[in-house]
Amino acid sequence: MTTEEILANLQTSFPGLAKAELPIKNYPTWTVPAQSLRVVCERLRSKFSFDYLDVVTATDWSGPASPKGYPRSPAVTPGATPAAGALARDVFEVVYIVSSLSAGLRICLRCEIPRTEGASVPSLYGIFMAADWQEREVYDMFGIKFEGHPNLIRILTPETQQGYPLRKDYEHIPDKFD
Amino acid sequence: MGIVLDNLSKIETLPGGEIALATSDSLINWARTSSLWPLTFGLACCAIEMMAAYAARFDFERMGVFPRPTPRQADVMFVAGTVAKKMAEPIIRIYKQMPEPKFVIAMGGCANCGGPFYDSYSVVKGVDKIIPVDVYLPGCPPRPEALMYAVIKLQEKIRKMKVKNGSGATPLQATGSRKLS
Repeated sequence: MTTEEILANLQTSFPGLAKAELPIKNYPTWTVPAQSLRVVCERLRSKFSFDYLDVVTATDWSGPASPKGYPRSPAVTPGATPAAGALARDVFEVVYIVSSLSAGLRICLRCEIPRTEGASVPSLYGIFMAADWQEREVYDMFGIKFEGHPNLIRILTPETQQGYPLRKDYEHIPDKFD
Repeated sequence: MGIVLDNLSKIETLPGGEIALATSDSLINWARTSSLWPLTFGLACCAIEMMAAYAARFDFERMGVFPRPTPRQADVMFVAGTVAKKMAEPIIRIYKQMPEPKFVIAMGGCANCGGPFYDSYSVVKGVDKIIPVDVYLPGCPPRPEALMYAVIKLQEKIRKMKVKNGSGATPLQATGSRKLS
């Protein structure tokens, strides 16, 4: 079964599911609405033997970082419409890569959520156990809350870390080690 | 035992060669310099060079440098690599667990000053911000010969230590147990 057939099969139940305009590398890439993310993954795992979660990561699309790099200034004013042709928009995009080891298939799932302070997506923990630490890392770096995660605390930075470092508008506040 | 007493300062062999007189400083410092036991502890790529220094080609053990797996038995800590802020608390903790006198060699650019991570949100810019450092060893990473040179410099420092009043080779060591964050 090809990924096209799987997509067509899933689209009968989840009309929000679509092929992404911008694929990640040359992987088959789908966009998933946040509310159907969990059920789509459940279906992928149980019905289509996608039993391996490679990657959970995220992208902050709120414009390019300042060319000076650090500290960055916010490039997109929240709520404003982006310039024509620009990729920058006021969203976080959570990216999942799931694999089927038996069928030899790999699918990228992109899930856009509004870029707010308490941005959240449902956690995949329970479907893929590997989501545990990877979602904690995304939470650590982007501040995206994973609803239903059993232990959503920082994993790479100390508890004293202020803010979320990979957000484009992150500005470092000196702590006791600086 | 192969100890060449003539080469040690302030040690005098009495006629007959059965009794040697020495100041306690020279004997204690001789013992300390010849058995610098480092903690088995590496943080990043500098640790690879440190392991190479322990291995057969460079043979650190001929200098008395013999890695110990517990801080309770260690005299010197090679901070070999980038000190992330998450790692800062464990480093302070194992430093406190080492018995006095204890020495620290900051190995490589990251441990000296942050190195390429000088503006990072997650890296301690120099391990001397959290623990006192005796020898700074630059390089990215330093070769095993450079680490040996740092140990020789540390030995030179230890030879200047005095037992009297617990004074050490550095003002920081003279204060005994140090003030840590």
